[in-house]
Amino acid sequence: MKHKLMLGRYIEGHSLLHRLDPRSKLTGMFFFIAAVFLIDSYVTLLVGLGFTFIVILMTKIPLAYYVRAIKPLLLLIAFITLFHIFFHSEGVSLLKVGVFSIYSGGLEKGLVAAGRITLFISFAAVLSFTTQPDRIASALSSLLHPLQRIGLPVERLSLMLSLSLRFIPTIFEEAERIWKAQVSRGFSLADQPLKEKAKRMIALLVPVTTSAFRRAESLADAMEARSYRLGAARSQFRQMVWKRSDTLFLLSFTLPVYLITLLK
Amino acid sequence: MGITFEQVSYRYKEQALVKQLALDHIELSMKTNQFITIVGAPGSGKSTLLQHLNGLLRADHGSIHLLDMVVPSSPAKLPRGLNQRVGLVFQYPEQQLFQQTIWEDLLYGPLNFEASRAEAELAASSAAQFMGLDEIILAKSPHELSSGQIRKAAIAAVLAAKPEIIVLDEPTASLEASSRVELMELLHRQCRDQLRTIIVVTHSLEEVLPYTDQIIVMHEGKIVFSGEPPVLMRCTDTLEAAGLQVPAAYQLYFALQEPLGLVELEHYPSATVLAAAIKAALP
Amino acid sequence: MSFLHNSYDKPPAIQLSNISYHRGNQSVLKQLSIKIPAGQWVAVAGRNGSGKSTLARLINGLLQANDGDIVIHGRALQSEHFHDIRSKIGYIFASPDNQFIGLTVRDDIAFGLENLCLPRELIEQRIEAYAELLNLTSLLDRHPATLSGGQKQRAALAAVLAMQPSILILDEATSMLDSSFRDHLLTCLTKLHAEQQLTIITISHDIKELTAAERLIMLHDGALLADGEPEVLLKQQMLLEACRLEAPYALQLCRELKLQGIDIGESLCEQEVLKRLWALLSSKSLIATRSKR
Repeated sequence: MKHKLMLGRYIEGHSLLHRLDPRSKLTGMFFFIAAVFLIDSYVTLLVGLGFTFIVILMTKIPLAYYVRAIKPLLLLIAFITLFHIFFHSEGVSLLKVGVFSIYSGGLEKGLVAAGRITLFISFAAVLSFTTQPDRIASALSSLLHPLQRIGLPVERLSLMLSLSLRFIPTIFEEAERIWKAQVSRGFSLADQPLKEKAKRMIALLVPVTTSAFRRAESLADAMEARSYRLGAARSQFRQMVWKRSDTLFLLSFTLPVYLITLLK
Repeated sequence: MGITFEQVSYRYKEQALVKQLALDHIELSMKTNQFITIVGAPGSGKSTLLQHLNGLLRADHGSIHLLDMVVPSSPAKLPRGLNQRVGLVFQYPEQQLFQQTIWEDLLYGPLNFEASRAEAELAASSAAQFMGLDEIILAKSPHELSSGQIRKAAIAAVLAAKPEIIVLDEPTASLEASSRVELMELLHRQCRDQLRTIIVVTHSLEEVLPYTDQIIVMHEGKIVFSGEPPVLMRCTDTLEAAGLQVPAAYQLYFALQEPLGLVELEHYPSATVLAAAIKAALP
Repeated sequence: MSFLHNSYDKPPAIQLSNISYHRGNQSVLKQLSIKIPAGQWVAVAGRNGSGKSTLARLINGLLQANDGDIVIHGRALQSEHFHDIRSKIGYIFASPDNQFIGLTVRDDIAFGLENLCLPRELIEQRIEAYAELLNLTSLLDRHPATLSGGQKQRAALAAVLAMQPSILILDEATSMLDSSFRDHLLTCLTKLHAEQQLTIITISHDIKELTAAERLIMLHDGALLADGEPEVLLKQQMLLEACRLEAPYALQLCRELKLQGIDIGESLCEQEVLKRLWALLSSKSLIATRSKR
C-alpha cells in the first residue's frame, strides 16, 4: 500500500536542491503557492511552468518520477478541466457538442486550472523528493518557533510531527497485520450496505487504536527514561545551516512572482 | 489427502525490482492429523508460507493441495470455505481482539462463517472449555486478563470457528516459561484428541520437540529439510545455517549414545526416557 | 564475593527501604527492602504480576512509591532529582519498537544525548563509539521499519549505553526475541560488567539469563520470596513453580537419574551433568575410560 504513493517519498541525490537548507525550500514553497494563486491566463501559466521546469531540472531527478507523482490525481485534474470547459461561456464559441458549447474562455479557464494543480503538485514533489521528512519537520518547527511567544505549543507540535514520521510506517504495518488476522477470522466487507460496512470496520479500528495508545504510553516511558522533559533545554544534534545559496534561492522567487503580477 | 506444495513460488509484491523470491519453487508434503513444526531464521519465508495456507497470499506459480481442496496460483479463484477450514493465528493474536468481552470475541469467528447463533455459542463454549477459560474470564474485557489468559483467549477465538487445520505463528512468543509449556500441551491435545492438524512456526526447538511429528526447515525461501526430528538433530550444518541450536535433550543424548551404547531413540529423549536408557545401558 | 556484605566503600548503588506500591485498591509491592551494592549483577524473577516491572520502574522514577524510601548512589529519589538520576540509570524495555524514538538509528542514539545537553561533537563521538560496540555502524542511517527486532533492541542498548549510566536495568529485554539475541546480549553484558563494573539488573523468565547474574531475587505477590545465588535457588522446585519457571533439561535429567539409582547431585548445566556422569561411572569402573564428546 505505502509504496504506491510517489509523492511524499525521498529520492537520494546530491543536486543543489538536495543540499539547500530545508527552511529555504519550505519558505520557497509558500512563496510559490502565493504565485500560483495569481496565475489566471495562458501567459502567466507559462511563466509558472517555465520556472517550475527549471527547478525540476535542477533537482536532477528524472521527469518520469514527477509524472508518477501526478498520476493519482489525473482524474481530479481532468474533472476540473472539463468542468470549466463545459460551464464557462466567455469568449468565442469553438465547438458544439450536442447541447453543450465549448468556448475559448472556458477552455482557457479549464487548462489554467489544470496547470495550477499540476504546478502545485510538482513543487510539492520537488520538496519531498529532495528533502527527508524529518528535515521538513525540523524546518517547520524552526520556522514556527517565534509563534511560541503567542502561545502556540511549537515544541509539542514538532514532537507530534516527528513521532508521526517515525511511527506511521510501523502502525501501517500493524494495521495490515490486524486486517489479515480479521480476514482469517472471516471478516469481510463484500456485498454489504454502507452502514453495515461502517459497523464492521470496528473490527479494525478498535484494535489498531488501542494498540496505538499503548504504544504512546510505552514511548512516553522510554523517552522519560532517557531523561526527556518537555520544555527543558536540549542540545541539537542535527543542524540546519543557512548558506548563501539559500538566500539566492529565495530571492529567485521574486522573478516569477513579479512577472506574473505584471502580466495579469 | 494431506497438504502438498507443488513448485510454489512467490515474489514480494512491494519490491518487484528485487530478484529475490520469498518462496522459491517450494515442494513440500505434510500429512494431516499431525503436529508439524516449521523453523528457520528471520526472513526465511516462514510467515509468507503460512499465509499461503489460508489464501491470504496467492502463489505466483504452482499450486497447493489442502485436504480435498486445490489452491491454484493467482488470479484463479480460491476454493470456497478455505478460510474457515484453515485457521491462522498470527503472532501476538491478542492484538486482534476488539469486542467488549472475551465471549463476544469467541462468537465473532463462527458468526462470520455463517454459523447460527446456537451453533456459534456451542462452538465458542467448547473452545473456551478446551483452553481452560472459565465463565468469569469469558465475561471480562481483554485488558483485564493476564498475558497467558489473553493469549489462550485469542487462540480460542480461532478454534471456535472449528478449522480442520490450525496454523500458528510463534504462539508462545513473550509468554512465561510455564505458560509456554501449557500452551504446547493444549495444542498437542488438539492434534491428538480432536484430530486437527497443527502447524506451528517457532524459533525455539526445545518446546516443540516433545510433540512434533515432522519438522520443516526453511532457508532463504527454500525448504532445506523436511522429516523427523531425530534425523534433523544430526544435521548440524542445516541447523547452524538456520540459526538453530541443538536442544539440550539431544546434546546430552548424542554425547552419551555412543560411549554408553544407548538404544536408538525414535522419539524425543525426555529426561525420563533418557535416564531409563542410561540405566538400561549399564551393567 | 558475597552479596550480603557490602564490601565496597561507596554507598550501595540502590537501596529500597519498606517500599509499598498499589494500583487502585490492589497492592503490587508490599514493604519491600532491598540493597544492591555498586557493581553487582542482579537478576529478578517472578511470575507476571509479582511486581518485578513495578520494582524496576520505581528505581528510575517512572512510578512513585506510596510508601518507603529509595536511595540511589546515596541520594534520595525525589521528583526534583529525577532528571539527574535518570541520566545515571539506563532502562531497556521489552518492546524493540516502542522504545525506538528517532527516525534513524543515529537519531535514536542522539536522542538521549541531546536530552543531556551534550555538545554536538561529543554526541558525534559517542554515536560512532557505541554503534561500533554493538555492530550497528552499517545500520546508522536506517529507519526502524527496515530493521529486525534484534537490530532495534541493539540500537536501544547503544542509545542507553551512550548516556554512560552507572546502573543498567533490562526489563524483559529478550522476551520478544529469539535465543541468539539473548546469547549476544549476555556476552555484551558480561563484558560490560567486567570492564566497567556496571550495576546490572535483569528482569527475565529465561533461565540462562538468570544464571548469568551473581545474585537472584525472586518476588511473589509483591514480596521478597528468595534472595541468593541463582545456582542455588533455581534448583528448588517450589521456587521455580512460584516464579512460573521451568526446570532446565539438565536438572530434570539429574532428578530422573536419581530415581533410577544414579546419583550425580543436581546441576543446571548440560556440560556439568556430563562431567559428573563420567566421573561417577568411571569411578565405579562401570565403563572403561573412553573419550567423551
